[in-house]
Amino acid sequence: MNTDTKRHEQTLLRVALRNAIAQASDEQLEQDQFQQLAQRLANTKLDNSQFRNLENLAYTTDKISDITDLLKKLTGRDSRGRGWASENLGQQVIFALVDLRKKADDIVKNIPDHMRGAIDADLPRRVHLELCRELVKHLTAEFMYKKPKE
Amino acid sequence: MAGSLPQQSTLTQRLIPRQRLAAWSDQAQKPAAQLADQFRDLLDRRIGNAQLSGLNNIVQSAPTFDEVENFIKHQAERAERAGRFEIKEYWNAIAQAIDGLKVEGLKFANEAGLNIQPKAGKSKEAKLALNHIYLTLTREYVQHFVAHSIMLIRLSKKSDRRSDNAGSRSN
Repeated sequence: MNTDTKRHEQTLLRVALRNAIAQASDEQLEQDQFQQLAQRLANTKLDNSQFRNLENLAYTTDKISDITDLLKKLTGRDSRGRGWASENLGQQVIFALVDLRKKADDIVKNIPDHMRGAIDADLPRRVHLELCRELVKHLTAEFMYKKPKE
Repeated sequence: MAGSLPQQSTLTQRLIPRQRLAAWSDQAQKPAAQLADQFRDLLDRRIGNAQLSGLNNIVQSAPTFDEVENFIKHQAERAERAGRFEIKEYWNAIAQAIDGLKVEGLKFANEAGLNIQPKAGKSKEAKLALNHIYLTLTREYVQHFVAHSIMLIRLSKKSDRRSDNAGSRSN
């Protein structure tokens, strides 16, 4: 395969992935489970800054484990149990993030044949990371919207 | 020669490409969490946040891999001298897990073109590069291990409170 064809294939793949991730991201928002989780988080003593920190990390790291490690540490440090440790909410967010791997695998599996040459072994993980970023972004926005103003 | 090696961050990127390290680290999270789960009963009662933060601080700031190994070995010896054999076992398990990372480290080294054989003699530069790779992998592994352990401590406190409440209700 020559360089031009390969580059063309990579561009097509990038566009296809962007569309698939955007669609999956919109679907996340519509799920009752997601809305309930956001509402329960809004009912805790958590504040906007914790979500901003989580969102900043999600968009700057290239590891999914960095995001889940932060949530584990925040859950562990919630000594009063009024934030991430309340009703196991931190763990539920972690489960939701980990669960996105299935969606990422589906997205990669459904890439059309003429683009498959541009796929590498790490692609499902990177799609998973993008889906995690989308989930954290939506959770942050929903939290801020739903959080009662004091 | 040590002096001819580039700065650490550049060295890390040369030895382990960023994306490759990210993929490895994400995979290493599960075994690190499983190791923490294995010692769930010790957490909080024998191993608290202070010890875990201590471990993480040492690993993240240690200049060499040997220093990490020595620290863990020292913790195991201290526990043995105090007759706390469960704790000794805990530190030994961490030491063993970290030692297991050396196999992965060798793979990274060879991917970086260092062409190092496991049992063959190594040049000073190869030893330095390997030490750096081991340290990088250990930092990732320990971050996962400590984060999971800290969460487990909180969860065990919650379940203790629940069983205390159930106990006081039944009394």
